[in-house]
Amino acid sequence: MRKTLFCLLVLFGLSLNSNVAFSVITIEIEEGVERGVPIAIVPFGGDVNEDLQFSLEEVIRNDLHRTGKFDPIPSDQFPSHPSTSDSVVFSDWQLIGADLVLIGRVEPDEEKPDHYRVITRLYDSFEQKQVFGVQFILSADRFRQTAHRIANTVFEKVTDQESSFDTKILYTTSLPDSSGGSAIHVLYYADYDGYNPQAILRTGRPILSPVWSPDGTKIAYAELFEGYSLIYIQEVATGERTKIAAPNGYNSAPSWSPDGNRLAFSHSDKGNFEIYIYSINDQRLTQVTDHHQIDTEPSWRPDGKRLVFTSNRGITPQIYEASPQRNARAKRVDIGGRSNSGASYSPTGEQLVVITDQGIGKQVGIYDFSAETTRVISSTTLDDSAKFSPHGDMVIHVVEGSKRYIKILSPDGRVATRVPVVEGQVKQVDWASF
Amino acid sequence: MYALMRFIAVIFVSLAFLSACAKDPDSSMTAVDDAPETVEESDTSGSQDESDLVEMGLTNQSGEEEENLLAHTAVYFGFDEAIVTERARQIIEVHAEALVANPTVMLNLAGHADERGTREYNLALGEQRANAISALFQELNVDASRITTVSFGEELPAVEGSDEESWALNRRVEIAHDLVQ
Repeated sequence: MRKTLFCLLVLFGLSLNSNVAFSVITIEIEEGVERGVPIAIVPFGGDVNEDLQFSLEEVIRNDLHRTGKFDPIPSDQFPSHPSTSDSVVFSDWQLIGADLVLIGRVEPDEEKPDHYRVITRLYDSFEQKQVFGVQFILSADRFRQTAHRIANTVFEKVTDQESSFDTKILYTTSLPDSSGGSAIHVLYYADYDGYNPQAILRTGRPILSPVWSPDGTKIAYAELFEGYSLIYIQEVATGERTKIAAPNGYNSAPSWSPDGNRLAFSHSDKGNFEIYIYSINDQRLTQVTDHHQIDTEPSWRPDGKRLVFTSNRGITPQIYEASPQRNARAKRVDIGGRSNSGASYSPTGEQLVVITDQGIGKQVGIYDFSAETTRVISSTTLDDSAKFSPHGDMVIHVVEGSKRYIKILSPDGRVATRVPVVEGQVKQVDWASF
Repeated sequence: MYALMRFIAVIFVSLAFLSACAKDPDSSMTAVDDAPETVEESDTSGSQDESDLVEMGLTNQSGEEEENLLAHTAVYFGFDEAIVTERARQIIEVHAEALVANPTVMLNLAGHADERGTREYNLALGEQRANAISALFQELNVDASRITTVSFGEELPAVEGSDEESWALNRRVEIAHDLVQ
């Protein structure tokens, strides 16, 4: 029944008062069935406000589940609710198929007023041993972030990869003006799961393609006016913004180079969109494409050596790849399907996430460069604005339609969850790369 | 290309249908059943609506009443396309004629896309549609200096709704000048 398909050699060495130990976790996966590691996330015990404890457990469960690499076991199947190491009975957890068991306690900190101490431990129930133990000391407003950090610790120990649980997203929404005028457009940033939203721009004009700079200090976006659009770079801390020195006409679809020194964007002066690169320090412009059909939506490869972009030079929109230089030769990326647009690279540059039309609508697909295959990972058919998370463990996108919303997908497409937004109709989303 | 093929298919089907009706009223049921099937075969992009629009144009052309094409202030496009349909051309010709007769009147063309696909591509597609209509006006002797084009991408749909009918009405170029109300 339990077939060992792969073993993970994990080196355990945690800071933060944790146990230091070496161990091997064997992850059991049934052959041919794609599923995550079964994990029981036990409600944290302790003597503090119930709301805080509940949010911890829920945040951790949602984080791990969204990646598709973990299958949290429903809490009504739990044999007990241990919160200390001596109360974990491994055989009980083996019975419900929980390979991993996470327990924890929250207690008021004895030294710092208004601070809490969270002690959490992960066990491998079949190996019958602790995978890690870690303690956090935090103020009440850090509970969600601490939960993300606990989930990240579990993710890293089990998969040997980093997670994106403690990162931020950007999104734009539009809402009708209360006085009946044109719509109000708002740019927000928030935790990746939609919590702690912060409005950073409100305008009467559509905001297009917000993108976070690689170092996280700036955001670039385009604002659409009647007959033209402008690209702005806005300081996150101060809200101060500057317009980039691009020619008149439409300037849109900004994409930061990995070093943060250049912006690729698309420009049209009442003719046709072409790809340009704007050098932020010396304001120099380089025209990359020159074709009588549409070229737009440039996106940098993480090594900075290539751009992908959308072009309809082959009648339907498709994805092309080119060097980020003057008069670059564009090569079609053969993603398949009747059309493809809005591509961006995975953090390793080995894959593209793309809006693909394979015959039933606009869906999120992942194209793999070495395998030369495309896999549709969304079940919705009005998808837009797809991006990988900074560590490639999730994909985010917008679903268009009468009720627009943000969705996070596991890269295998198995798990889809909604991200709550503040108000209005979501337009686009970006995932910060830091 | 698709639009042209569809258009040819629609003419063919419409003519077959009309001639079938004229010849033998009893066989009209068969003709009706056959017609949509043939249309669908050539309609790989699923934009049935455009075919309907073209068909409507044909009916009107052969109808008794003269249609006031100047009252049409929008022309429509196929899915993911900026190709001017025959129906659009008929409408533009009438507008162009009026504009040529009134050389001081300015023309504004606003290109739009339906919500499907990416927002940035739709901004570019809206521009390409407006440009395609602008080129036709120029071909019909309306001077480029009188024409302004704008694109709104998918930002300002004509109708709210996420179905084929709504999308077909949102893939458009709006024609604005002082000779229409």
